[in-house]
Amino acid sequence: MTVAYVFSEDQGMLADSVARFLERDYPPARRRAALTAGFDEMLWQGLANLGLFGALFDEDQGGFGGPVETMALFGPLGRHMALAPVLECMVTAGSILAASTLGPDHTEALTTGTMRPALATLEGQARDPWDVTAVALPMSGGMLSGAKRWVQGGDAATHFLVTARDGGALSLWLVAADAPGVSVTSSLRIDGHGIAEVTFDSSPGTLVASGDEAARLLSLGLDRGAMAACAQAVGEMDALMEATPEYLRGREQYGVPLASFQALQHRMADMFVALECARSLCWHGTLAFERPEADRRAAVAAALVQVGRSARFIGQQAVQLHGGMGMSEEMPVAHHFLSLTTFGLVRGAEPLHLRRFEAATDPERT
Amino acid sequence: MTRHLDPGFTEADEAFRSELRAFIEAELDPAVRDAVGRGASVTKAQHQAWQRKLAAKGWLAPNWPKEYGGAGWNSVRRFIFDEETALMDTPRGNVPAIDLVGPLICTFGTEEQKARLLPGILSSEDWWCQGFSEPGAGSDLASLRTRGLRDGDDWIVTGTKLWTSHAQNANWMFALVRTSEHPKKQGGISYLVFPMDSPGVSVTPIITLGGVHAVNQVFLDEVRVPGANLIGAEGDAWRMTGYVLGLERLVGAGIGHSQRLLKHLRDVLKTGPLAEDRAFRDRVAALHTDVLALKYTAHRVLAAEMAGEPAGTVVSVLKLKGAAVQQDLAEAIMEAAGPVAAVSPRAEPLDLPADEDALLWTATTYLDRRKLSIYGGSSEIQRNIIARRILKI
Repeated sequence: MTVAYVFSEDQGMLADSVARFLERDYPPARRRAALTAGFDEMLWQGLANLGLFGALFDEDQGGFGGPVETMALFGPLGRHMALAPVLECMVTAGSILAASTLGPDHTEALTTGTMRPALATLEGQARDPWDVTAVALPMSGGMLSGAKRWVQGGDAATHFLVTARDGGALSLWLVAADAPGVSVTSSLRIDGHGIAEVTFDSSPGTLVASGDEAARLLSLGLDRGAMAACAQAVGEMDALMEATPEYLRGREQYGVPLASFQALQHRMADMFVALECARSLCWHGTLAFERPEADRRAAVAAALVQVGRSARFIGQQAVQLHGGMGMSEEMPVAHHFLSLTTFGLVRGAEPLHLRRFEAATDPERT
Repeated sequence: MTRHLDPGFTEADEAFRSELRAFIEAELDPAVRDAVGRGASVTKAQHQAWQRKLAAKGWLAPNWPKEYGGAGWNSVRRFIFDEETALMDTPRGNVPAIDLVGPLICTFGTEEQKARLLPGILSSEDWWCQGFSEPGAGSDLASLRTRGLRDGDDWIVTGTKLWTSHAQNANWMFALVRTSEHPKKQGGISYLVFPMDSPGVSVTPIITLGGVHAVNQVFLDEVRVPGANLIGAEGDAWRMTGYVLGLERLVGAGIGHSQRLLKHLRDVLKTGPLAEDRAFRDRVAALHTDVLALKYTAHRVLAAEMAGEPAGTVVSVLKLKGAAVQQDLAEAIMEAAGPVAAVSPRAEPLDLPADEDALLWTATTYLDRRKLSIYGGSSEIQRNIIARRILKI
């Protein structure tokens, strides 16, 4: 058996460097100040200056990493709750752009953080990123019209990667945020990350891919984003699994530490099981990018189901075990709960993942 | 379709898996395989017949060193063996002998004991039962009160053992016996082994849910055990048990059994009316993700073991989660089977079509699996262990 499910020395160093940077330059007070202010340009620049964005991209795409390096980086990003759209811009949209034929033109701008594309795909009441009706008109250079909703990281985007349909075929377009006809209305999620509604009115775009290639790229980007989100959630849950026992040991009620109550001990044990199951399927999904696409889709869907369940349970129980303190904005536990709550809302509800899992699973294999 | 290797598994590991599957396919009596698959009971003779096939191949004792007739496998091979034998419905054989007393003797026994006791296990002539639990010592096993008093070179053993599997078929018992007073209750406990036909040994059946006779109560009334039958050092049994159970920690997860139950669930669903039921299909998909969570947690533990790293507290997840997953699957199978599951497989048979007849044992399996969260350290004990480690209390 070869070594698996552990980070290499290099991957560990990546994780350490981002963790050290956030510990030193991103104290909770600074995060709190940024919480209602929207995009934190200084934090983004700080992360870009570390030179880590290249670790999110494969070597043949001008980077020096891939899915496992992404997992290594997103643990500390989750643990420290960095309010920067690394996941949305660099992983989800970035991996699509980098893997496309346009990739070589944009790799440098991506890895240095000067370009921040955001994926704009959801429309109207749709919950499924594949339900696309926005229209691309194949005139010179391409013109896009339509409204896209719930664009994660859209507030800070320099570009949008827009899904559209030209007749029946899916296509992907790159549109500059400041292009004519682009209108961005920005807001914030409950966890402080940016979100936007974007409309395009005969906006000029560059075709990234169409037909099967567009579908391949969209699937890849969504899966890469999903696994980064899982790694980030595992990082958040790790933080809760350290903070909660510490709190239970330190706080006394009825003259004894809370940690001495078996009901609370067993809750902690169940949280631990939930966390380790999430970590196992996070690894499984992350390593599945080397597998055939159906295997990858099944592994990613399974990870989204498990991480979603674990995030909900651990978030709720960490707040519960902290009592009233867990509800206080002063406490990191409250902020982790906010982030973990958005996981299910942004990544999609469990039934969606269960059905994708079923569709991608060979029933004769387990 | 080519099988895509899981991380950490090599082509050689997969070749072993194929060889094992081919062996089971060729050598296991189809009637026995069918009975195990349905959850029906298997006789001692059938267990023995299968054990002898495995022994001839050198595969009977996965956890024993090669020099004593064991398979001499690494953790990955043992894992594959457990996984595939469960998936392919092989009888489990005399587990207390193969997985517990055998490794105990190999590790802590004298050369004389190894020469005297191991061959009978490998030949399947000797059938062992495990005297652990007692009426007042279940989860709190260290409270056991069966006592061994010195009489010259011998020990005189008196007490009661409870929930003893295989006792009705066994000709040997290995028992945890309190042989000396010790300030800590885990101290002063020793391993004594003795034939079941020793004067003073009597066995009373305990019938469990569904009319199953698998466990017993064993009364020990001044049973004389020669000093040569003390395994390991006197008073050292608690530590020895921890060591031997450590060899078993991946087996406790029951990965193969969970995968087998999942396959059974899909088969039952295929012919039943719930096949198109959205809510039930979501439940099956969710159970499948549970099985994967368990499987890849086990793979993480395996990878750590193979790298010589401590796996840590994550090992404790396996037994707890493994029991819950198997129980949930058995429950779903029974519900998918529907009213036929309520019919006793031991009553006057109804004239059922073959596909329904095959579902007769689904409730028995469900009932039987409740034991998984009770024995071998109950789920509550597992939670205590995990909590103690993460809370550092």
